[in-house]
Amino acid sequence: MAVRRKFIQTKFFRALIVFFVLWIVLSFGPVWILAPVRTVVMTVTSPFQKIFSVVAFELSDIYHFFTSIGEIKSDNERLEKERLRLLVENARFFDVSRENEELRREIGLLPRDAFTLTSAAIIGRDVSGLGNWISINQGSFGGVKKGMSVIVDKGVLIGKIAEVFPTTARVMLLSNPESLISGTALDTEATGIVKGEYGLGLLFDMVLQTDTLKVGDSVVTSGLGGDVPKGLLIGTLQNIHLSSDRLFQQATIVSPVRFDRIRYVFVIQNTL
Amino acid sequence: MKIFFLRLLFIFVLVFFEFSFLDILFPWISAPIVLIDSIVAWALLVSFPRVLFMTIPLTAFFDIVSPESQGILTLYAVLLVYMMSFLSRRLLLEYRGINMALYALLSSLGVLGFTFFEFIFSQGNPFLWTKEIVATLSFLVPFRDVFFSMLLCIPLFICVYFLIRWFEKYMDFIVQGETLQMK
Repeated sequence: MAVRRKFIQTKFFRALIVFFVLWIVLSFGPVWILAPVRTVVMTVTSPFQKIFSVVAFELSDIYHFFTSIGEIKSDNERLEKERLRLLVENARFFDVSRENEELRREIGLLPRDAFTLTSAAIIGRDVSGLGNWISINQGSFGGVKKGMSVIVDKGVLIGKIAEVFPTTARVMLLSNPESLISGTALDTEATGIVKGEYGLGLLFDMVLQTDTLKVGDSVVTSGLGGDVPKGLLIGTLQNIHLSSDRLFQQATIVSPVRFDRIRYVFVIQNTL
Repeated sequence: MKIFFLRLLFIFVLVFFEFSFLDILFPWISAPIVLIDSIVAWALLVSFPRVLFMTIPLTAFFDIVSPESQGILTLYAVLLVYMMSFLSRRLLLEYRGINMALYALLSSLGVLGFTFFEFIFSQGNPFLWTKEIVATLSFLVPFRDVFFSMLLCIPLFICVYFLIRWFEKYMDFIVQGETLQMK
């Protein structure tokens, strides 16, 4: 004869109880308890993270090497054309740059692009929230502070430091919807806010209708209202349209770097 | 004490395998698939109330490490463990051969479930959603990434299942050794 259990003795009831207790703890639990726990965990486990990330990047490189063999020929042709175009452009910019330096010296401005940089390797990525976070192997011991800008190559902005631990730090990428940075279009000098679109890309928003936006124009940081230095490249404009309330102009921004392929970054500690 | 530290180390390895290896190697994956596989594997190997003692620390640890998770995986783990426990007792299938493929498939459905669960819980009160928000969310769910995550979850489940089975046997062996020594 089957034994009939009471509802409170069933697995379903126990699962429900555990679920609701956890929900209450997570919803109303004090955040300040988690912060020191997270700091200890991230510090103690940073060697683990480094080992795993190095192996993952090496495997990723091998995979990209084999998958890119077919594209080498077309890439080579494209890069040769690009090289010639850049040679011409470089010659033109060399002259302009020299003139710019002289003018800056005359009016007593600091030289542009002179930053104190700290190099860091990526040791973790977060898939929750559509992967808008990365962890790097530099923390407060290396002089990294919250709010510092994170760049790749020669000044392409990818995000800001959001959380600092002793040996690691967490970077909020520009593609995070909570990331807001003031930007300027280089050619037309239109200003707006660069914000993330849930990991899908970047949006140049809040641009006045009186300003002009041009497809292909580069967007750089304006240096207004924050720790982000002026003149860091964010990306190029594409797909211009009006906002849903028709008050402002918007445009999607294509970043020159793929956030999911980055391996090393630089943290701007201060501008010289 | 030795058992506690070994279990903690195992949890560390699983979480950082996910966070610092798999998420870097496959940046397009939309859910912590190794952890979901582990939850399913544990639910199949260990009885219901006991399984929570491993899965809750595992997921809570991931939620501590992950800034955007906000405890969502821990909540989801409880539901997933219950569902797997419920299904495995009713399906009455052995954990081998083609039956393993069925469990791997259930695990990949767990990945799909997590994606929707995450959207529901991370976007505020779902009862207040307007048509626009629902339309935006349906646009934002990267279906291609979810599909590939589900595919990747299947072979990984087999590896994770055997790894956890070996680990649980090893733990039992240590417990037995300690008990016999005491006697």
